[in-house]
Amino acid sequence: MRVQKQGDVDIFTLEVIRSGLIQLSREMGIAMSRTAYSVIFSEGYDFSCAIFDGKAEMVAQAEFNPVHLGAMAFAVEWCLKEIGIRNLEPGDVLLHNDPFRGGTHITDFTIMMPVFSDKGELIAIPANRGHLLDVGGKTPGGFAGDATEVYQEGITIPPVKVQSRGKKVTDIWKIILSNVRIPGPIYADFQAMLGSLEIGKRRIKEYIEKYGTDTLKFYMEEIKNYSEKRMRQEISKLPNGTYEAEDFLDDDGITPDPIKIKVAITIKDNMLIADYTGSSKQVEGPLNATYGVTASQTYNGVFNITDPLLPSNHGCFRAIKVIAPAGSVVNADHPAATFGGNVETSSRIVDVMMAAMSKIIPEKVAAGCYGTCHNFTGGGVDPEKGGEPFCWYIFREGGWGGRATKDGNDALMDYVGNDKNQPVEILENRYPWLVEKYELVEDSGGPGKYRGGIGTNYVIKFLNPKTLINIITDKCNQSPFGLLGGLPPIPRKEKKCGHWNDIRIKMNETSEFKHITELFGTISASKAASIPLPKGASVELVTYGGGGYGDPLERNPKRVQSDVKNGFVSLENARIYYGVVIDSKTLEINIPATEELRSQLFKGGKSIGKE
Amino acid sequence: MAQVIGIDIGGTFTDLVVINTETGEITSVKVDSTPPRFAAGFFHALEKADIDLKNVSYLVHGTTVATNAVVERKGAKVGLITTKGFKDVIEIMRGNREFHYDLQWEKPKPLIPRFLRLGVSERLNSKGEVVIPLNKDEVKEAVSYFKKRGVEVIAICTLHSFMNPVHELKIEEIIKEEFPGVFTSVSAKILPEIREFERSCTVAMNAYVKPVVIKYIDSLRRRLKEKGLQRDLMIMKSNGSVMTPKMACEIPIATIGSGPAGGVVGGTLLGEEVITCDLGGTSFDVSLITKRKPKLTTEKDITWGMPLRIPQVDVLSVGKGGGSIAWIDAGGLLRIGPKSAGAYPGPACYGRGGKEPTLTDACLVLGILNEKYFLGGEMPISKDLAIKAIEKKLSKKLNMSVKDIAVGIYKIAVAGMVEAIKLVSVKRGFDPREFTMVAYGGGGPIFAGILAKELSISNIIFPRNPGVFSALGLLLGDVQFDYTRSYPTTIENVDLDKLNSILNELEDKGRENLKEESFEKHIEILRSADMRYMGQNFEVNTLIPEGKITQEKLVTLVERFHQEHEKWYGYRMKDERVEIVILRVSANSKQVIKPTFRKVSSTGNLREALKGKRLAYFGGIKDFVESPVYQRDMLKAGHIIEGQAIIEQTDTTIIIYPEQVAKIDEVGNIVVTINKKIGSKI
Repeated sequence: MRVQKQGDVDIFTLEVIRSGLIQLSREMGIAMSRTAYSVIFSEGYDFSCAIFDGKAEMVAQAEFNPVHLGAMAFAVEWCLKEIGIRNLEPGDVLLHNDPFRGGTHITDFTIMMPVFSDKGELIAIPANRGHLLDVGGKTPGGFAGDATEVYQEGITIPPVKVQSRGKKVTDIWKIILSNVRIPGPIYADFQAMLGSLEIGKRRIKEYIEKYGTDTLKFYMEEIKNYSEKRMRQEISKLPNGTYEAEDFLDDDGITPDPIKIKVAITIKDNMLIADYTGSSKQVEGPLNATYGVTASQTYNGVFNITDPLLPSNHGCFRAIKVIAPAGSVVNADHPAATFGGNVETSSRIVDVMMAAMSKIIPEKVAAGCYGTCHNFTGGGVDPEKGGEPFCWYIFREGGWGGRATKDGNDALMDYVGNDKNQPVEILENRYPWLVEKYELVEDSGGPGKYRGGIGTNYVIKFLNPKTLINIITDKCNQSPFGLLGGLPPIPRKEKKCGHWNDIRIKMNETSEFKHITELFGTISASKAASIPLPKGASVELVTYGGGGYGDPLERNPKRVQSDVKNGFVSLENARIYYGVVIDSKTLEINIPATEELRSQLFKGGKSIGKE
Repeated sequence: MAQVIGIDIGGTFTDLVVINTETGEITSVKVDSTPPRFAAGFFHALEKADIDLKNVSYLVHGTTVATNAVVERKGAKVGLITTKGFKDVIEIMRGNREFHYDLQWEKPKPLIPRFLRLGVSERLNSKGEVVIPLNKDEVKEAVSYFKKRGVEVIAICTLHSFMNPVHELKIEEIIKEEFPGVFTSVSAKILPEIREFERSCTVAMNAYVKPVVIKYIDSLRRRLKEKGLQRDLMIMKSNGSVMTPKMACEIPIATIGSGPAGGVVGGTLLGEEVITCDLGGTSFDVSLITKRKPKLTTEKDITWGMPLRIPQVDVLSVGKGGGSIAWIDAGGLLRIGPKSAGAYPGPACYGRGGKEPTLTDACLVLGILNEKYFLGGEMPISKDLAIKAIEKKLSKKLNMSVKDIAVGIYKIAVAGMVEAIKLVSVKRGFDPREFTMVAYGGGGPIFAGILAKELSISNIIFPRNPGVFSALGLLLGDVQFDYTRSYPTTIENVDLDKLNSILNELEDKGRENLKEESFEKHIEILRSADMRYMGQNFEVNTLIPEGKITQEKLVTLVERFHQEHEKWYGYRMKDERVEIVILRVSANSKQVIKPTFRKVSSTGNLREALKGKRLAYFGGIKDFVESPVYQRDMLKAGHIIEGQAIIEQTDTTIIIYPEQVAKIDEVGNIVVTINKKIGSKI
């Protein structure tokens, strides 16, 4: 292969290297999932892999975890700045987990391995970020819903070398492992992450050998330029102007006040500026997003409404500017607690972007998502396994918002991640649990011409003598938004709180499910830490649906009928919100009654159901 | 005259191969497939080949009927009985998305709608112990609900049934009593393996295709018998073995991927360590053969989110086929596939109305294909149309000449194929340089030479009939039964008596089943264990040493596992505890009917095979170079051709690249060796 001169781009070579590096990121992830210990890693896919160039700019990523992918860019840059490129040598591996230096939350570790040419030039950096099950802190498995400082959330490791010239730096490993509750599994997961970097290194070396350093560097630059060009083209299609929206989080776990997320998106020719000025000040509880999270989720939102085929890398980031005032909930100052910033506040960031953009590209956005990762963690000591300590992290999928021509997808992981749920059969093997229920929730999707997706109900019974649990969830007391006449999901009125997403506990087999506010007098119904559960207690995790899109009275009655038949919509709601009358026995549509009811409801205005 | 026949029905073509067992002569025909009534194509092929079924001693069939039913969503009305509280597992799926940023993406719907999924009270824990006994009345109610709604098949999949099938079997028993005649699909019988979503999906898929496959096979058998076929036909399985129609009707999903599996099995005839490359109309399929056995996998998805967890020949399929469309994306990059022009309208050069330029069109422009000799001249193609398509759709936008773009299409396609080969080899711990490449399919032989060069592979074999090689491979499958049993334990805690008794039980079952189907000869038993380091969630399949397992043999097994793990993932953890998760036993009856091929004559001058010269592109930096063109039928054993050269035959075009030397072996295969020191390292 000839050495390429500046400006002399062979588009074929560009395509070959571009798709090759994405494939490589994918391959790194697969190797990692297959060798990791934790279920959250191997089954849950709570990790991400990407390739950075010698300038610490992201060149390629595979389809893993969106919230990681943007923020990783900052983490790699930070590591290189702090340690210094000059101090890097072949065989080094860098690690860090500081949320305030491009991290996400403290359980997410970024590790990276600089790869050099034979002449010692830094060419590329394969990197991955993975969620480790426990990093110390006040609660097993993290996610203390009542944390007020990052120090309570776990141990912070600044950018350090954990491997130097191919040799493990054992002192650092000792420090990390003596600060976590389950050192064995954590170390095994780190092994899997390191193994995946080795694969990355090997393949980058092949590229260097095949193309030569100059050509490879040239094309890595061109890959970013290409994406930048595409992203700017996409943004140019949007009308210039500023579009605003706001939405809220329930509370921060400490005080009852809702937290505001406000965005003003300005389109200026081929540039998109997302300004979060006006969002709440940083909060006391663990709902603070760091700048990395806010930027990640802004990119995430933009990618979702532009061209999904657009290769996401640093080039795209050049066309997007993120303004997040320091000291606010979208760019908190150290030492704020941040666990939920990465999983809850982040979710709301994409939602407000959708709401803002619905004003100019309604055909490309979706109504509100169920709006949480519904984080549920905990741990204990399992006497049946010889007193072995255990920790878990599970999250729950829910319904997404309806779209211009399609219903919202049912039971999907929030925008924030692209993780997989963890199989019940594997969890029960690993933890002293019995899962009692895992079903879709009737009537949870917001009514609309295109209905919101459906949420889930998951019940776990605890078999251990004592288990500690932690909860961070949201949108329990506020609904996701509907769009263009579509309604928010209809709340479950029979409850004191938890109309939408919900967590309830049954302390023993004979008692009732109750909210933590009722059981423990907590201020928040959605955030808690270190709740002790006795043997036989159960926890119910409910995620709700997404908002509807378009007037539900315009929904094809046959689709309503199908929803009723399949138990997605009740007969009652079909009548009240969709104006479709269905015979309870035959499940046939009563066409004249439906026509009459619809015309009546239509005359009565479209705001029915909003009460 | 005795004949053996292989018939492979793919989505586009139906291929038939006949071997005359006395002379070893092979003939073949290719006809259009006739979805969804595939049987029409089957009999059309027999007719076209002028077969008298009375003379046929053995007929093997590879079919796409099941795949087609799943992909087209044209299967049966299925009901599901599962553990109460878990009826939505197959709809919730794994909660993840195919693309991480595509808001318009649509989550696939399950094969069984929600109103046909019912939970019944019952529960086992993870050890397989009964926590809640089965409520038989609820089962009866469920069955009567399904009966009323005209359900054709009932799938059964309850939690942890792979540890203890007691509830599933009882449910099946009740169904048989309450609803005689309805088909069932039971997870403990089909896939006794952990992970409820994947298992449910596999079981649902099996149920979904059951009536379609049974109907199809019954009608084939009836008509074949009418036409005088003496011995019942055999069906190729996704794992490369063959089965009786009865077996196929029990586990119909085992027919999925049987056609491509045939090609890979065919490859076993040509070498111990083989990489097979099959380039068809829509995809490039690669797989690996080691020690003359195709590599198997249990982790393939039919489409995204539709996992099929039964053992299948590990064929990696990428969307770079002859019909793959070249297009320019919004950023001005040239991309190929995954959209394909298929057979209709097909590449622009077919003149069937296709306007999009494809890989085939590029090959025609590059002189690799011959306008006048496509399918032996049976099918006229037009270079002008190919040029026009590239000009109109690509040339203007890229401001490049048609020829340069054709070169670009060629290069990008080759890079994609190289990646695919690396995925099945390097990335799984195999060095492609130690393998022989076997290339077939209409397009495989065009690219094999350049792929071998890129990967530093030194030997390529082009079989006698590359275009119908999969159909030929069907004839080579053995009869095989596979059994699995979950036996989760750490190595330290292995109960040798129990381990041996499970293995013996499964082996006995295998021998018994083979006997039932009257395959008692040449029996081979293969035993393996899915193992992992304690705590990992994925396993590495490891061969169990032969004979009764002793403490010593256990040590051998663990060492084999370490080796395999290192091979796949690049490292071993010698201090970690190792566990067994699943035991696998295959009982195999070697098929005695192996085709013997007729030797080709060794008299004749190479010059007689030379039919002309033409300018063509050979993948180098240099432009077109002039190359001799040979007619394959005229080549004789012992002939040697030095690259660059083009060899044409009716079903494909073979390219011998510069610095490659082709030799015709005694049965007419073309064996290419490549001078060392050429091509880049891996």
